[in-house]
Amino acid sequence: MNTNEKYTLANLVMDHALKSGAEQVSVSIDDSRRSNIEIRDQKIDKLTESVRNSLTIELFVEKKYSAHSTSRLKKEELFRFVEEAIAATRFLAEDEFRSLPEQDLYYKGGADDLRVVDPKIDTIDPKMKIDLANQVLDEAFKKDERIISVTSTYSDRISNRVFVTSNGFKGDTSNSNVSLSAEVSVKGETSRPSDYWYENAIFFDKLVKSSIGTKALERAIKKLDPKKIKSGKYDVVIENRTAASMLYPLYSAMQGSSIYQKQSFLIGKENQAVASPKLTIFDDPFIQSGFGSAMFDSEGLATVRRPIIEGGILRNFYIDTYYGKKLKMKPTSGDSTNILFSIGDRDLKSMLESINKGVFITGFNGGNCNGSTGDFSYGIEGFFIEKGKIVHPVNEMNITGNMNQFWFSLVELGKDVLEGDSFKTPSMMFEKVDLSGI
Amino acid sequence: MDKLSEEVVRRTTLLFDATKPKAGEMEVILGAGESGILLHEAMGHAFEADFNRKKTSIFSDKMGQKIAENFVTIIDDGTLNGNRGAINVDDEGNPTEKTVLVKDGVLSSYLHDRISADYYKVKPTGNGRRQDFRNIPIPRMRSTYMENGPHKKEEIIASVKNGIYVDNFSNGQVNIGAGDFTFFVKFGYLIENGKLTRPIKDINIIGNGPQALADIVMVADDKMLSDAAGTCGKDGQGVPVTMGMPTVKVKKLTVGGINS
Repeated sequence: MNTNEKYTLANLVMDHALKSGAEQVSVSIDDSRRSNIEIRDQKIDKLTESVRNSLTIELFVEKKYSAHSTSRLKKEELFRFVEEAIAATRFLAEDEFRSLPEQDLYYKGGADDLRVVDPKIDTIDPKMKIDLANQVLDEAFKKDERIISVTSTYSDRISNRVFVTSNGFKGDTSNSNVSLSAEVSVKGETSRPSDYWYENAIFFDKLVKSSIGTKALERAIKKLDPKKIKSGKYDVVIENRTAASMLYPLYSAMQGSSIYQKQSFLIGKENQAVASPKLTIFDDPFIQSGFGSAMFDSEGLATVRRPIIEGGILRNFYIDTYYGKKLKMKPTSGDSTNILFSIGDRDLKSMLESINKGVFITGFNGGNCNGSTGDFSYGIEGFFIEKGKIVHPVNEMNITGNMNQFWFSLVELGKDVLEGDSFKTPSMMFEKVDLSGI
Repeated sequence: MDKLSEEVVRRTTLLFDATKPKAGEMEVILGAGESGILLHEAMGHAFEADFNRKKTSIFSDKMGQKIAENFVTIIDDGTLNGNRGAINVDDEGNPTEKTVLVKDGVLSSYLHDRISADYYKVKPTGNGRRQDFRNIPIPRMRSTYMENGPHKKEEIIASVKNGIYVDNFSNGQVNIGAGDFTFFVKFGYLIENGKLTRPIKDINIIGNGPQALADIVMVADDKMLSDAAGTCGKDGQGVPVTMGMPTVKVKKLTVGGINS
C-alpha cells in the first residue's frame, strides 16, 4: 500500500466507525520493514527479515474510550472489526476526560522536511549487509588470545505511519534507522567481562562502518579483572553513552500520568530548582535528521521547541490531552523528541584527569527509582580513578541516592555529545555520590 | 483479594519508617517466595544454553562441577498445574518437564532449546519459548525454584549479627558474561544481633552469580512459590515465569545504601 492508499483506507475505516456509533475516532496505519543479521565467530547465527502491518483505531463512544489494533487490513474484515470494537467499548466505564485533542493544537502541515528517512535502505543488497557485519566482526575476531566470543550485528528498519482523526487531523511520517554493532567477551584470571560498541544512523551512507569491533574489544579488555572498592562518597563521571539512564527517572516524573497518579517526585515543582544551575535541557523536535525529530506527536499535536530544565529550574512537564484535562493543564505533548543539553567546554579525558579520587561509570546493571519519592539505587560498573588516572576496573557496586538531591550534585557537563540517539547526552560529573562496594 | 490489599496497606504504612541501610557488603537473608528472583537472575539466565553454547555464560565451563553446598538443589519446572510458568509443550513442540539444574550442589543441566540440545547432544528440556509469532524461540525459564534445605527460618535470622532481610522486589537484571546480577528491593528489614529491626526500602543488591551460589550457607525448610505475576525479558521478548525459594542466607552481597 502506498501512502495515498493508506489514507483512503484509514478514512474509510474512520467513516465506518462514525456511522456505527462512535462520536470521535482516530485511525493509524503503521507498517515497517526490518532486517537483522547476527554473525558469531565468522558464522551467521541469526538472519531475520520481517514486514509488519497494523491498523490501530481509537474510539470515543458515549464518553467511553478504547483502542484496538489488528494486522488484517482487508476492508471487509476491518468493517466487522470496527463494529465489534464499538460494541466492546459500550461495556466500559465512562471517562469524561477522554477526547481527541483540541483542533487548534494539531499540526497543520506545510513545514520543511526534517529528513528522517533514507529510502535507499530498502534497496541495499543483503550480501552487502552480511559483508558489513563480517567486516565489523573481523576487526576483533582472533585479535587477542583472551577472546571467548565475538558477535557482530547489522540491522535496519524503515517504518511508515499514516494518522487521521475525525476532528480534522491528517499526517504521515516515515523514519529509518540502520546500525552496526559488536559485542566481545574476554576471559581473564578472575573475570569474563564483555562490552559492546555500536554505530547508528538514519542514512545508510552516513553510518560509521569501521572501528566498531575494535572499540568493543578494547572496552572488554579494559574491564578485565575488576575489583570492588570501599563504600563511600565519591566524585563520579558518567560516560555519555550511559548517562541517559540517570535521566529517565526525571523524564518519568515529568509525565502527566505520573503527576496525576501522584507517582512523581516533581509534583508542584514547576519553576523551582530541581537540579544544579549547570543543567539546561531543551526538547527540540526540529533538528535536521535528528533521531527524535517530528513535526507532530503520537496524538497529532504540533511539536514545539521548549525548555524542560533551564539553569536547574523545571520549566515544563510532558502533558498529553487526557492528563491535561484531568490535571487542568494545557497539553504540551506527552512525547519527548530530541533531548539537548547545554554542554561544557572540556572533553572526557580532561574531566577524568581532574578527578582526585572517584569512579568513572561506564555502565549500569539493574536497579530502580521509586517514582513517588525519587529514591534510587542502581548497579554500576566502570573504573576507579585516582589523581586523574585510571587505577583498575570496578564492578558489583551500587550508586544510591535521591533524585531530588542527586541532580544538585552535578558539577560539570562535557562537550562529548552522544550522537546516534535522541537523548544527546554529554558525559556528566557529579560530586560526593553514595557508592557501595566492600 | 482482601489478603492482598491488607498486605499492600500494611507494607506501605511501614514504609513511613523505612530507612536506607549502610552501604556495603553484608549478610543477606532472602525470605521464602519472591526471593526466587535470586535464582532467576543470578543463576537461571546463566544456565540458559544459548549463552553457554556461545561460551559467554560464566557457567559455560562448569557442567558437572560442584558449584554450591550439598543442600542446594535448583529446579526449573514447566509441569506445575495452574502455575504461571507452566506450559504443556514449548514453542518448538518439545514436551515440558521438571529440569534439575543443580542437584545437591552439582551443576547438572542447562535449559535447552532445539539448537542447543542438538549442539550438546542432549534431550531437549522443553525450554524453547517465544513471546509470540513475531519472535523466534530461545531458551527461557519456566518456574524456577530451590528445594527445601536442612535449616529453620528462625535459626537463619538468629545467625545474623549485621545484615538485612528482604522479601519484596520490583525487578532484577544480570550481566551474563561477567555474571554480575542485581535485584531491586522494595521492602525489607535490617537485622541487628539476630533480630529484625527497622524497615528498609528502595535499595539495589548486587552480586556475582557463581560467587553468590557458593555463598548460600543456609537453606530453610519453608519453600514457597511466589504468586507474583513475573514476566521475564530477554532479547526483547517477554514470557510469563514464576519463581520460588525457601528462606536462604547468602554470606555476602553488596547492598546499596548511604555512607556516613
